[in-house]
Amino acid sequence: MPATRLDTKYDTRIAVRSRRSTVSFACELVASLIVVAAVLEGIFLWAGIGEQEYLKPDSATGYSPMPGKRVTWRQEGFSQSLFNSQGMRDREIASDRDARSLRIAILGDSYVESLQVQQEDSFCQVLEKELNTTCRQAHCRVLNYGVSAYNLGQMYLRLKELAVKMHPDLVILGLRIDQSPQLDANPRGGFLFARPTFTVDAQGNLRRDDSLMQRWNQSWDGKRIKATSWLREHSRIWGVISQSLSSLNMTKKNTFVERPYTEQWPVVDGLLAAIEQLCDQHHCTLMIAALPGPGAEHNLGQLNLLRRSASKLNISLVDPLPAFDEALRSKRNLFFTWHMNEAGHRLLAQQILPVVKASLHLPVVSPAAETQSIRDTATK
Amino acid sequence: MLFNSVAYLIFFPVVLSIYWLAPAKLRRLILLVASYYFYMSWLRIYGLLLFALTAANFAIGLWLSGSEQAKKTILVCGLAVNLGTLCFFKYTGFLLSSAFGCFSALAPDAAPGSMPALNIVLPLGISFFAFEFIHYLTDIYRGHKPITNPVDFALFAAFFPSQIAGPIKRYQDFMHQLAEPSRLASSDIERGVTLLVQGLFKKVALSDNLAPLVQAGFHHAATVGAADAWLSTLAFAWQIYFDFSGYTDMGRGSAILLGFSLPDNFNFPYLAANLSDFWKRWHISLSTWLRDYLYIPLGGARLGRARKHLNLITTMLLGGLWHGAAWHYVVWGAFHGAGLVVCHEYGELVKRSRTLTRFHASFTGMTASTALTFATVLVGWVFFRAETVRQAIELLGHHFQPAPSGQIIHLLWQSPLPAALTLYCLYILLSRRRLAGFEAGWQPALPGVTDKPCSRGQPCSTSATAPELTGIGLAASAARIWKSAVNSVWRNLPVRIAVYAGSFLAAIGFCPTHAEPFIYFQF
Repeated sequence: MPATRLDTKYDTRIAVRSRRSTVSFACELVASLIVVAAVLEGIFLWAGIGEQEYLKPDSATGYSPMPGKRVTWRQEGFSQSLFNSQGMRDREIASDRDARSLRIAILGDSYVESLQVQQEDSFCQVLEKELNTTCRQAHCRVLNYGVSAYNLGQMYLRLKELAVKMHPDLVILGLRIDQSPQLDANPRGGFLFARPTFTVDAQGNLRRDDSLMQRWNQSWDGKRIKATSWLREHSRIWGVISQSLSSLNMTKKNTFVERPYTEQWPVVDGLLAAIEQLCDQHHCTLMIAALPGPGAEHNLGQLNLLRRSASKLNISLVDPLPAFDEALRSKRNLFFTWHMNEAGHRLLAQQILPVVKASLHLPVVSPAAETQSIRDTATK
Repeated sequence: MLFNSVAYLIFFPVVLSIYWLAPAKLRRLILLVASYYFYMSWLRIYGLLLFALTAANFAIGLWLSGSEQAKKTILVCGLAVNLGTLCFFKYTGFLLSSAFGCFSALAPDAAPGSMPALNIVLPLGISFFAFEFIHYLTDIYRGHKPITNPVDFALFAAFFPSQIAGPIKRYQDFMHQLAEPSRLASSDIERGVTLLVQGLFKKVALSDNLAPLVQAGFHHAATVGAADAWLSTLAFAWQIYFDFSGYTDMGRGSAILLGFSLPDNFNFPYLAANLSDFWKRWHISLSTWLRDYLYIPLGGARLGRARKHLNLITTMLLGGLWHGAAWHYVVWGAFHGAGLVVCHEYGELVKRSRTLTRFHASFTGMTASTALTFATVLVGWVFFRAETVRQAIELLGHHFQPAPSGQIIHLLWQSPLPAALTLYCLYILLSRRRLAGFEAGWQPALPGVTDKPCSRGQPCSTSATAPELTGIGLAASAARIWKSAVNSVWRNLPVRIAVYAGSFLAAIGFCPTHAEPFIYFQF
């Protein structure tokens, strides 16, 4: 039977009703998702979930922490911290300073950043408390410039771009000796390896190369990170999704093979010389603290090279390894899995303290009294 | 491959798609292949053991049904094969170490310095499928028809949603479902997805976050203070519930999406009014198995009071031993056996006393019974979780020791658990089915006493006091208003989709860095 005008009208009404119900379904779904997302963001904020995305691309150093970012760290140990307006895991710092105050800038990687312990339990803060307890002449402020996975090249750039502006009196480089310097360019390393690389030319001059960083910025990963920067900074749901995807990627094998540390050492020497020169220009003293890893087997070859380099440049070197080895022998637990726990941080502060005081020409009391003082600080 | 792993997230949708897209006559085979793949993803050699036991039980089942004279002998052979395999893998080490311990105690000079090491790897799920085989052979002995199709039998044995940690299926239910044409309604899809997401959240967000608190308490049993001791015990009670019921939910959800229905294993067990009620709510498939294939064959309650008590204790003792080859499991089982005896005796007392009957039917009575039952179960859990009987006794002693505490409370505040628990409570309040189950779940069930128990929110016809009635009435009105609000919102499919997506994301978010193994995998 041919379709009548009535049939056509009825079909049209069905189609319109169907379109409306699809649209209404879609609107209800979107509205419900927004409500659920809002509730989830609130719950995640309360629980400190999805707060591990805290690094952003940085044209100077490759990446740096997001200013003002709240981070709850549970991957190893536990901490809750707020990065200050300069992207440091520290309280706010005024650029001007009191003439009587002393500033100590500590640069390093995750060992210095120490997200595994609360801020007040990190060796930076323990050191600061101890300096202010035992020394009445001046108010000391220890500035934590540590950033996870930073190599010596990035520490140099962070010092140059950020730390020197705070006019530190002493700069301490916290250098790990349980792992290689990681100065080689790793094109398949992802976000944390998209950083300026340094080489030393035939004349012994330090050369900076940003090509890896630029290539990464133009890659799909780099564009994705830039495009989602607002979400990474503000959304905990995005943090959860991102973290889950990263843990999936971590199951992929990393086939990059670094050169032995001995072959990378000329670059280390070049960077140390550049840092030393920078500190000279800004009238601050430079010091190196060798940081041990969790195992008893340290890379003594690397430590010896570091000693030689420090001696050549007339830089003080603190070696806390004997103290850590002694603690290990007496079965004291100083590490979580990879990073120091509260006890490890206290021991490190205790080892660094006398050398810091000597560098700043502060009165040195007996080591036993200082150890007791640090222990008292810990139990308060 | 765990239900909460990425591998299962890929495996299950692939199997689901192939299963429903394939012609109906191939579906059983597909499911069988998938089940063996799932099982062998742990250790390939396990597949051979499962296959061998399946073949043996299939043959014994047919032989049993075809033979009239030697039925008992054949059954005994079948039981020997299954129990022998189970005992070899599970109890050899335990028996030898216990014997070695006795020998060392009695003749310390003659005993060697240490026991020779045995490397017997316990095949996953062996306790569960051994019990399913025993049920199968016993039911055939009792006159039920055997499964004649080897593929069907192999699928019953290897069905992956219930393979590793139950629920322990009954072959008659399973075959009945296999015989029906496969069908997947939209309500089944929703139910399956709900159970999967719910189970995942219980396991990764709740159970895994409770694990560090439990570990800290039991590891330091010798030094914890009272608060920490109570916290870690309570934490374990909830850890094991969320872990096991979460696994069961995911298994049941997976089965529903494949068109199968598995028995529920839990019914708000911590709302039980007595121990007998508890065992009707906790690991239901195991407790019914023990009742049907151990307690009743031993004589049940038919041979007098003393024999009934002995049968109860024996059943629970063996049930404890089933959980693990260690003395603290035996003590746990014996504790529950003794508890059930006391429960039954008290039930008889209540039957004879009108005062006690009225008390237990009242709101106060119900609350007191529930609290006392929970406390009793908690004591049992300490033995269950501890590594030795000594550690359990030590920790129990510390429940009343005013030593300094704080480590576990400290861990609790550092963990995302408070937020996860709040979200879970919100989910229960929003979910109509869970809310209805919660209301129905809290009903007293004294053994043989009340025929028509009072339910919460309903005025009791016996001795409820006026304040109780007013309170109950107000609570009932509030509950009705909340239910109608929830129903009106929940009716919309977009709302449900958004909640499921949010729940899945919440489960991922709350998942700790280090995943804990399923507790019942060790059994």
